Amino acid sequence: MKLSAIERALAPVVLSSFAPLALPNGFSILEDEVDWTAGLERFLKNASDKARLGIIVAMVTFFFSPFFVLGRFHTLAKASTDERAAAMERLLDHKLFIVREMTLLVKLVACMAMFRVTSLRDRTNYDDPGHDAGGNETQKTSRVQLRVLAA
Amino acid sequence: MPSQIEDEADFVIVGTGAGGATAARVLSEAGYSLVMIEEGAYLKAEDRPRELVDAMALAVRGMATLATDSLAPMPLLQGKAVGGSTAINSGIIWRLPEDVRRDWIDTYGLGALASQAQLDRAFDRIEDELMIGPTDASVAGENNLLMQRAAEKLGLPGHVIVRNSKACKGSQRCLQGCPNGARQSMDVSYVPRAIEKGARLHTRCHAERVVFEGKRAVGVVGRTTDASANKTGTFSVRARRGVIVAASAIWSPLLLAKSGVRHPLLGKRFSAHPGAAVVGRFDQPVHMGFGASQGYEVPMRDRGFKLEALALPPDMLAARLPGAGRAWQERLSELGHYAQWGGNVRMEAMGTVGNSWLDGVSVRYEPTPNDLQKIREVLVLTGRMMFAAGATEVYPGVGHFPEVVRSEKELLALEDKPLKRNQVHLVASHLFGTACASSDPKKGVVGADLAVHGREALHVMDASVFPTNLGVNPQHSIMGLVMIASEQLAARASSQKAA
Repeated sequence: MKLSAIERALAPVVLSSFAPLALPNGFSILEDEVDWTAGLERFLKNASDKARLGIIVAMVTFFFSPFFVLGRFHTLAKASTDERAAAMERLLDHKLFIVREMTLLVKLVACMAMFRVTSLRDRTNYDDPGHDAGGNETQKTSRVQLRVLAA
Repeated sequence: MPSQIEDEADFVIVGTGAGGATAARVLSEAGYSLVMIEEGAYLKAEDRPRELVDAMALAVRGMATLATDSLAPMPLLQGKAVGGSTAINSGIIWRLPEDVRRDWIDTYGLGALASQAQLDRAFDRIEDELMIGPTDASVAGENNLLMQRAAEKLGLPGHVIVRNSKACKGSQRCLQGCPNGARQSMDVSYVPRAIEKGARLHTRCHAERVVFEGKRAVGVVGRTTDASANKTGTFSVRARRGVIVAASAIWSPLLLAKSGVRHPLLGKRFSAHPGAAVVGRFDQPVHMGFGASQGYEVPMRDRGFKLEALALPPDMLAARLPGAGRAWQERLSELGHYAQWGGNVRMEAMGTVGNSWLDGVSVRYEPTPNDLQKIREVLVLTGRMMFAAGATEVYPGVGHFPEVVRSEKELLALEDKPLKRNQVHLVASHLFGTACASSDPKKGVVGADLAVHGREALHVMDASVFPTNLGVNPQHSIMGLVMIASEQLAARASSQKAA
């Protein structure tokens, strides 16, 4: 199953909108680090028919979400990074269950694409029980105060 | 060139999960020839990727997007590989609860299948063969240890989870597939044993119909597929002594119905243990990436639910953290500081499974108001445990409720109003009931011997035969009951042969 042209166009714009900010001292995604299209394709190829249809409809809707949820007359592609993140926040918190669920599902697809990248995964220190996010050595059961990386 | 598989054996078994693999193990040991039919692939431990999207593409049906037909769909988590759902679960082991066993005997007449002595013998054997034992402290991991401390602090009846795991290394990849072959799922235990005894396994074969001669099941036909589920050919397997359907509570009734089996209860009485979970942030490192995926539990059967630690792969954990943009990205920078615990609810609701042009199946299943209040209780109690363990933030994941709470007082506001279905994200992974067993043909699709009423040489041996849900993880109960039923089948087949 190959993605259509629309799906290929939507994937990087929509999926990256959950984490679009460049945070010098925090977690950021480097340019071209994540192959969003490949991640979406892998997911959709194996998803149920209903989910495939739902995700595509959701992504088209999200593409126009700055209008629906922020009152801005442009698409996600033309939105600023703050607007893109704000739009996804609003969708995650939408009053309609189905919108929240579909946004959560699309967010999961985005995360699956992200965590396919070893360098990105390593930066979260998820796999390393010996160091915290600041690269400091920790004891597994210690109560060391984490130094939260500020933006 | 289309592929064409033709085969023949004493018994044909559709499905290689807990039920199918156990039947294969028993019948092959009894000297019968077998063919196992499996829709998914046979995955070696070293072929199971760490990356979630790739791992799920290989072994989880529909990427877990198969869901109930509802305005608030509930995803249904099933495996689709040799081993079935045992190849993607945490291997949690519980014997059939006594209150359930008594109910099945008293109400459904299953004394011939579920006597205490028979079950104890079956469970003892399985526990010995699958190296079942409590999660070792060396691989518990902080997610489980924190839950233990919380339970002790609140005086809750928790204990270490008993699992089917040999030399677990705490890789926390149960969902993606154990890379070390430690979890004794059916693909590394009973399926290979059956093959050693001469059973044959055809993978990537989707069973479409049981073939009958009159009322007697004489084989199974279907299509062969490639890795993308595209049809590549057909298969036809003849059964000299019988067909065993063990394709799960979703697919077993569909296969039977498509094969012409009719019963008012076929596809009805669907039940499950939907779950909801809470994430907490801790100042101390938790590092869910290390440790048993699920190593600690708090059974509260009298209240209708069971709480469990549930370590998530980073992709799922990240998606579960609230927000997008700056706040989310800051949380991602400290992914080693989150714990997740949740609970499965023994729902009173019952639903249906039927055919559909979309995805081939329609499942209807809605929690009752009582079920929703149990779910609320799960969320509140799990959140309280998080704070008791030292969480600085808790994310309840409830709609129309703060996505971040920072104190128990804020959390307890959840109790102010009844929980509505459209507020909570549920996932169901234990599925039951759609070909239920009863010695009375009016009350069950199959009898106490798991043979389909009104048919010959046709059995169902998976959780679809359970007349009720259990309130505990079902793998061990499936295996125990199927072991007994298979032994009885083997004995009957031998005496027929002798006669």
